Amino acid sequence: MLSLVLALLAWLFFAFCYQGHLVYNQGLWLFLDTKEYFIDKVSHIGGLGDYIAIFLTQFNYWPLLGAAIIAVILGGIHFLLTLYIKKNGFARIWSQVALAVPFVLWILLCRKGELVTLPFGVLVAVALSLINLGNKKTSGLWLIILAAVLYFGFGLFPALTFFLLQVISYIPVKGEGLRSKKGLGFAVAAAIFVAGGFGVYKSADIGLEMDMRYTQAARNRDWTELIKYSQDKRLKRSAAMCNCVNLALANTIGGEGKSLLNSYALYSKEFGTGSLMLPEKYDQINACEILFNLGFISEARRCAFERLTSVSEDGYCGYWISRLAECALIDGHTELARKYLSILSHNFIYGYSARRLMAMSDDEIDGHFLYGRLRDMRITSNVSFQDRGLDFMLLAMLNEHQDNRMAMDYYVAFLNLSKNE
Amino acid sequence: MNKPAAVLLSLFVAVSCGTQVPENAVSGGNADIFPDYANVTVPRSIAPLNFRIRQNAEKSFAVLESDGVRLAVKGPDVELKIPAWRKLVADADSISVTIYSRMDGKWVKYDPFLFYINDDPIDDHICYRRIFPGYGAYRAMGIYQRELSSFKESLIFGHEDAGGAKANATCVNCHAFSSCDPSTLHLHIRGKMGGTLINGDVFNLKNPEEGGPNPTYVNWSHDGRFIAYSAEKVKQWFNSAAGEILEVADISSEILVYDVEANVIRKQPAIDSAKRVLMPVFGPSTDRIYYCAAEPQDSVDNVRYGLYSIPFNPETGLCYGESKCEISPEEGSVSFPRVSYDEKYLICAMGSHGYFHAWHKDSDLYLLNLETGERRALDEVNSDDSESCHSWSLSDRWIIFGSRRMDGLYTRPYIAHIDEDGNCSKPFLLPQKDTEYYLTSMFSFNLPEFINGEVEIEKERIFQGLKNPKQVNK
Repeated sequence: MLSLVLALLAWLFFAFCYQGHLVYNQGLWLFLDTKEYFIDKVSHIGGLGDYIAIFLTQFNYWPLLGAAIIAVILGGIHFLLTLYIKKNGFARIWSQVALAVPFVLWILLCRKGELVTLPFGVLVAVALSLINLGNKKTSGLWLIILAAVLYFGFGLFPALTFFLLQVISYIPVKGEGLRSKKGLGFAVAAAIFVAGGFGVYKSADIGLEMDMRYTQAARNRDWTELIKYSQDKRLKRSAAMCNCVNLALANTIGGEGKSLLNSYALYSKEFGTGSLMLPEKYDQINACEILFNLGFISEARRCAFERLTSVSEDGYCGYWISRLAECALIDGHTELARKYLSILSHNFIYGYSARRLMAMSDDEIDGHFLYGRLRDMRITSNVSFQDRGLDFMLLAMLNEHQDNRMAMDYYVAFLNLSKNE
Repeated sequence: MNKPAAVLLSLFVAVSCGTQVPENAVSGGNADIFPDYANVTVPRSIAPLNFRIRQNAEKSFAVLESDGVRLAVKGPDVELKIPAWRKLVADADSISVTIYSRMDGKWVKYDPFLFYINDDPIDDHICYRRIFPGYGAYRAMGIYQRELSSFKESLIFGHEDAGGAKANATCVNCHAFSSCDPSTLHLHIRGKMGGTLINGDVFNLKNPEEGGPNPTYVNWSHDGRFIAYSAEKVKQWFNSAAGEILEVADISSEILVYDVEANVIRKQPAIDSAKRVLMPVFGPSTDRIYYCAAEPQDSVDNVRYGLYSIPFNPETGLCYGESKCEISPEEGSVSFPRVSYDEKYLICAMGSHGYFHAWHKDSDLYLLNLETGERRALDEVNSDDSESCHSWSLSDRWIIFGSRRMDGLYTRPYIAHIDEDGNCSKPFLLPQKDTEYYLTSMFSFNLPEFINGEVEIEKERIFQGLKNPKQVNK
């Protein structure tokens, strides 16, 4: 019952309070269904755990499902620990105490970019301990082999968990006193729920969560959703939020031929020109999104590549590879685009759209509602934007493409906002 | 291998693959395979040339035949085991490859092609820097080595090795060897706790002039006594237009020579300091230095490096006399000169401007005959995209170079045979076990160099050396 409550709470938290982080994690990793990817992952200590965790993380694309997976793992750990306690004949109160384990793992999962490697490893360790309990003839050698397999597959902590549970199972059963105090169990469970909940609350970065949601909505071009978010007056505004909302406004209101100035003014004063776009050293993700939409494809590609190489050891990061593929398609670098798309085609989430883009001809790219427009808006002269402000870049764009309505809107808004700086 | 054994092997392989050559196959012209290994010349010791059959077929397989040995391998990924490959190449001058594909229920036989097997000696390893072909970040960068007869790749020194932690990760570059000798590994380790690794020790190698630019591009003398450097203050920027991504130019530069035995680094006053100079290389007899030089210009688009040489006195460690123009800057912009060990040829990269040719699409390899002064583009190995960063095998019969021909961004290592007359064969891409490796790898292979054996370094010694590097006399 406690396991079920824990799982339900975890699901509610990740599905509704932390879905931005879930989707961010999905984009941060890229699971490939190739033999080589498997071999590469499992060939280092803890690699099997990483492999499984990255596989599971792809389902964060649908936050309700991703949250359910995490909930099952956390709830499963407690459920199996309860079984373990029961089978060993320990006092029931230990089942309530065991709630602390999934709560600690839950707190760790609140960190940005965290995979479920450790919780999954612990789940496997507890499951193996449980299976092992039924086998009274287990030799020491077998236990060492299992611990070693856990160590190589899932890392040190799951192996230690397994080892510890084996040692604990040899402790003589005592605890009749505790067994009789029914109210104590409830008190302990309640205390751990409160303490764990407080821990989760303290470790969860809700400000970042909101920024992530805004960024994802911008990436998905979900402008209506973005503008809807912005109408929630309870939220403390951040520059990142303003960047995304302004991008949404530029893509919607501007498209209908209305002036953007009022909209920008509504949303911008707090951060000055930083409301339009923070310098990329502060926010490379949104800078990339804004530059891409404004037609600065080379700059967007540079941001994407820099970001990719700073967050990934192997370069497999779905969010950024898909952006690099888009930039290559727009630039007409067909072979390069094909390379990126062929990597993405090995992934369950990105595979379909990657194959669809691979099949598109150059003429179809020209006619594409977004890629075609951005292709037309590319800057043909070589201007160094290094250490230059957004206004300089926008002017360079407008010099070549007076019809870049969004660049014009951004430029006017920039001038307006910079008056007070 | 004797004939009965070959026949037995052939039967075994054919049976084990369960593949029979279809009798009524229709002709399909040239097969589409990746990498393109059709009619390449390879050293006998090379690892299996695994490739993918790209025809969209229901079924496909390749039949590889050499002197009495026949191997049928199922496609589309034609991946060969090393022992079977060794038997195939053991006595062969060439291996014939025929591809069969079944499409719409009908078998198609493609025109056979050959792998030419060559016995000219090649060094058994190569060394390269594996890096994201990015802009400023240097995560996951490392100097790697790869055994040519197998697929074994190992990290020599990674970006995390200098500090031992991700937080201290730093840039490592400019690996170089004297006469392909792995024990002479030279490496710059940048960052706060930086230094230069030479022959296993870490040195604090600086410009003898206070505030002068520090050593960058490197070349060992073949006798292992001197190291020539160009020291440059560099500016890098990114292009806003589609096409070439970044550009690099020198604000100032000079040439320095480090005397390993005397532990002294010297400026070279005989070399014109008014020009931008870079990439010095020794001639094999250490009596001449070749280098690139250009007049400074307002725009990098107008900077053209010519190739020059100047006599070098090993007794004094100094260049002397007049510089001789080997390739005029009017003929193109030269970079990366590399002299063959017999001092007969020099290969350089040439493009329209600048020297950062790995990023210039128009960069091609050129061969200069140092005896006759004749120069020609190595059309046999060049492509529409960038070729540069080449090096010679110790036997002078093989070259390895980096090319971006595959997708325009990721540098891949290609090897080509070069005969005594300077004619190259069709280059082949360094084989990998996984046929999709180069299509899915996000790394570039920079500056591939041949080495004669495996590099062995003591990381703890380097780490201690970085804390307390040896001082160099000025």
